[in-house]
Amino acid sequence: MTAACHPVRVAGPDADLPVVALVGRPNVGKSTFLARASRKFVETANAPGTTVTLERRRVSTGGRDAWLVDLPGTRALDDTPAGDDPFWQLLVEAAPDAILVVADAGDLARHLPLAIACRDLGLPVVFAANLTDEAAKRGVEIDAGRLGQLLNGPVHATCGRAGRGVDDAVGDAIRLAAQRRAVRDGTRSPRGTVPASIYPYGAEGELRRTAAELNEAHRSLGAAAAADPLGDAVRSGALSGRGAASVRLSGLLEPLRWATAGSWAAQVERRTEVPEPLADRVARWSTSPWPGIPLFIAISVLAFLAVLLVGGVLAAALSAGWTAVVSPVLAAVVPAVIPVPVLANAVLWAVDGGLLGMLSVGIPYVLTFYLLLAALEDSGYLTSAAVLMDRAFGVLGLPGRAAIPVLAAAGCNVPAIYGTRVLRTRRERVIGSFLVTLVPCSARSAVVIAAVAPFAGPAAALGAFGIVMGVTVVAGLGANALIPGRQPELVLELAPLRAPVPRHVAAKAWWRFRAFVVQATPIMLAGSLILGLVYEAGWWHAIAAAIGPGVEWALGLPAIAGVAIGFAFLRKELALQLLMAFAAIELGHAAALGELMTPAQLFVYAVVTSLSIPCIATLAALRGELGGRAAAGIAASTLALAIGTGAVLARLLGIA
Amino acid sequence: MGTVSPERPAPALDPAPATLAGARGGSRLRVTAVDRAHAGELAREGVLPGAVIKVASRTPLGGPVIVVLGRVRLALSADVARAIGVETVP
Repeated sequence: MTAACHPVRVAGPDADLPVVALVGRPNVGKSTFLARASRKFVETANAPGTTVTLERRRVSTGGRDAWLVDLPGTRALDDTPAGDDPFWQLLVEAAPDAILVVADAGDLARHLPLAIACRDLGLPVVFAANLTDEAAKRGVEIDAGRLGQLLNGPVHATCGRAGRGVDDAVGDAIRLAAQRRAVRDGTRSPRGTVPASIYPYGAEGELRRTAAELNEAHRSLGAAAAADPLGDAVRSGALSGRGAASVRLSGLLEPLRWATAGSWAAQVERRTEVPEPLADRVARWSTSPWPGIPLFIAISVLAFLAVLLVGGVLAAALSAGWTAVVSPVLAAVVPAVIPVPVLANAVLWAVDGGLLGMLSVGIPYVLTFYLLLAALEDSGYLTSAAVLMDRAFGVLGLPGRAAIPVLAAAGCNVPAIYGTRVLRTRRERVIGSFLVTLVPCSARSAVVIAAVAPFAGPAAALGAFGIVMGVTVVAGLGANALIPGRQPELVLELAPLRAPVPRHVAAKAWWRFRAFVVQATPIMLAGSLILGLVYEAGWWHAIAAAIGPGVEWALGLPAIAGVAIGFAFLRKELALQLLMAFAAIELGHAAALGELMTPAQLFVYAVVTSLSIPCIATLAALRGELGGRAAAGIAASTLALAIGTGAVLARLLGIA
Repeated sequence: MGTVSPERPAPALDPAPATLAGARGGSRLRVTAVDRAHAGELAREGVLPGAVIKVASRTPLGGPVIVVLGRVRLALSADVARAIGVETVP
C-alpha cells in the first residue's frame, strides 16, 4: 500500500471541515505564513527542506473553519522533498479541497510553474505572492489583478512576517475549499470556469491521451493492483485522470510551464532599479572564497567561543546553586528513605550526580548551541557555509551541510546526531553520525585538557586533539570508501540572507532542546545509577582484575584506567573523577593523577577516552536515529579505533 | 540554401560544446543544452535550455559553481556543471 491510501483524516465533528493545503517552493516563508494564519509558531528554518512532517492546523477566518495542512517545500509535484515519496503523494495524502500556493513576489518566474502544476491537478488554487517586503526592497512590484486574470484564480499580495494579506488569502482558499466540498457532497452545483490550457497543441494532445489511458486503466483494471501509484490515485478518486496525467508528463510539461511563467511574470511585474540590498551582497560574499572562507572561520570560532563562554558561565552558576541548595537536601533525604547504604549511595549518584550532570553539562551547552544554530539557520547563512565547505567534506563522503553537525559535536554529540537530519541520504547520515561520535564533545575535551595539560604541557594537549582529529579524518575517508553508495550531486538553491526572527529562533531551539532533555535525562539517570552501584558495591575490583592484563598489554595503562575508560561510557565527563576515585581506594589514599600514571600514560588515556565508544546518551541518540545495528556498528568502530590508536601511541611512547 | 557562408552559426552537434564547468566567474551565459541525466533536477530549478545565467563565483578545490538565475543563486556541483552546455551572451 502506498501513502496515498491513507489520507490524513481526523474523527469527530472536525472531520468534515474543508482542507486547504499550503504548497510552495522552499524558503518562501510558508511556515511563517501558517503561523500567522493559525496564530501559532512552528519550527521553521531558512534552509530548504525544514518542514518534514505534515503539520495540520485548524484555522478560522471570516466565520469559516478549515484545516490548513503545511506540506514540505517543494520545487515540483514530482520532486521528493521529504525522503522517498514524491510530493504529489504527500499532497494526495492531505486530501485537500483547495491549494494555497505561497510564492516569492520578487521572483514570480521561478514560483509560477508550481502554481500552474497545481492548477493542472484540477483543484482550486489561490496564489499568495508572499515576501512582498523583500520584493519591494529589490524594486519589484506586482499587479495582482492582472496575475489573477492570467491564473484564472484569486491572487493576493502578502507579507507573512508582518501578517499582511494572510487572512484574506487563507479566507479565499477556505471559501473555494468549502465550495468544492459542497459540490462533491452534492449540496451545490458546480460553477465557475475551467482555466484554459496553457499547453500547445502537441503537448495538450499528449496530456489528453495519457489522461484517457489513466481513466481507462481505472475502469478496466478495477481494484487489481498494478505498480502504478498515479493509476492508484485515479482509481481511488484522489486525482482526476487529467491531474494524474499532468504529473506523469512533467518532463514534457515542466519546460512549457517555465516558459509560460516567464511570460506571465514579465506582464505583471513592475521593476525599478534599486541598489543591491546589503543582505544580497553579504550572501554573495558568503559563497566566494574571499571573503567567504575567512568569514566562515570567524563565525565558526565565534560560535564555538560563545557556546564555551555562555555555557561555562551558566554551568558554573547552575552547579554552584545545585551543590548549595539541592545536594544537602538529597544527601539527607535519600539515606532516610532507603535504609540500605550501598543502594542509597547509588541512588544519590543518580539523582544528585546524574541530575547535576544534566544541569551543568547538558543544559547550558546544549541550549546555548541550539539557540546559535537556530539563529544561523534562520538567517540562511548555513546553506552558504554548506556550499563553501562542500568540497572539503566531499572527500569524507559528506555534503558541505554536514559541517554544521560535525562542528556542533564539539559542544555535545547528542544534539549533533539529531543535527545529522539535515543530511539527505541514510549513507550520509551514517557517515556523518560516525564522525560526530569521534569529535570530542565539551566533556571529553575537558578530560583531555585536564589529563594532559598539567603533566605534559599545553602543547601535548594540543597534540592529543590533533591526533583525535587526524583519526577522525582518516575514519571518514575509510567510511566513505567502505560504505557502499556515493554522494549525490549537488543542485541547491541558496537561501537569501535574512535577519533571524527571534520568535522562530526561540521556538525552534526550545523544541529541539525539549526533545534532548526528554531523551537524555532518563539515560543520564540510569547510567549514573549503574555507575553508582558498580562503584558502591565494589564490583569494579572484579572487572579490573579481569581486564587488567589486556589493558596493560595493549595500552600500557594500569588496570583501573581500563575500568575508568570502560565506565566513562556511562558518563564521559566523569572519566577523570572515576579514575581518581578508583585510585584512592586502590592506593588507600587520595592520589593526584600524576602519581597514578606517567605523562605518556595520561596522554594515551586521554586519547583513548576521547575516541572510545560514545557515551550512553550518544548511543541512545544513534539508536533512535539510525537503528540498533548502525548504532552498534558505530560504537564497535569507535572502540576499535580507540584501542588501535592507543596501542600504536603506547608503542611509540614506549609504555607498552 | 546550398552555400556555406562563413557567418553560419555552429552546427547543433558541436563535437566539444562548452559547458558551465569551464566558465569563468562573472560571465553571462545562455544554457544551450542539459544532459538528460540531470534534466529533471535542473528543470525544477529553472535551468532549462534558453535560460540566461551568470556565474557568481566558484568555490575552492573544484567545489560547486554558484550561478545567478533571475533572483536566486544556485550551487551546482562540478559534475552537474559539466552536464550544462552554455554559450556566452554578449
